[in-house]
Amino acid sequence: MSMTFEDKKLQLQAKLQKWHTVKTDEDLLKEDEFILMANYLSEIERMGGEMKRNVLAKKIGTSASYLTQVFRGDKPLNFYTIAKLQRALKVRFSVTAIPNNQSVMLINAKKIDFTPTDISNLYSIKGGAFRYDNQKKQQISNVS
Amino acid sequence: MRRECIIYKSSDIYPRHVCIDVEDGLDIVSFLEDPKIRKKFDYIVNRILTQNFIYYEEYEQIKTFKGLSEIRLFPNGMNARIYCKEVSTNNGNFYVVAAKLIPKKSSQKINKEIGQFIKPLENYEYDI
Repeated sequence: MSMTFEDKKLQLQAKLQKWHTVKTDEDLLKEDEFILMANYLSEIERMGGEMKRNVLAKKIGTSASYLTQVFRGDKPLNFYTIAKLQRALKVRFSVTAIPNNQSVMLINAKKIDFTPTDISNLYSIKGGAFRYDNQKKQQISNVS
Repeated sequence: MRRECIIYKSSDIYPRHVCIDVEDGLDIVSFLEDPKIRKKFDYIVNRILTQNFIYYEEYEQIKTFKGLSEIRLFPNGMNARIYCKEVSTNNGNFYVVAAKLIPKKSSQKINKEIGQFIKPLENYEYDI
């Protein structure tokens, strides 16, 4: 005998309810861990644009299959890999912590022109901040 | 075609929800009984609900079918698909309704058979 629509609905509700209630605190923490990773991954994918995964993998000295596992959440994303990806994509991550009830994006990546490697090109500007600008050396020197 | 769905999970930060179609939902939840598959499904759901840009390699729109998208599940070498209907409401809420399951997809493309299988989803209208 086939199930009625109401029977299906009740059974589905009961099943989904059970799945939500069997989650332990440890499970929920793990979920939060993956959500944090996913926020970085989403930004990396966005900033990577059309770059093929094997090209990106080569740039950071790893395999495409490892990156695929990371992007699918099968392998954890560590901060060393994030740092390498940041450099390879020429982006900078900014992280914001906010109270749990506010709706904003927590992790954001922005394109940078280049990654400073030579600190002799860092110029002091007012307020104790430093700026790196190879093209406008003279102009910035005048500010300091 | 009027349908009903049940909200599986809602986002804390965006007006987004992932739902399951009532009529075909039991097929989907039976498939998700395997803890490894459900863990993967939950990971994808969490990404849909928390990412600024919701689409990525495991959740993509199907460009050839209006308002449809697919969840791609690859646990244990599996190649499964859950086809979804995307619904936007006037109050700004966005719903992804998991509606059809293909436990083993043989190719990456949507062939004629799968096309016929998911075509009716275009006309699904949900009471949410």
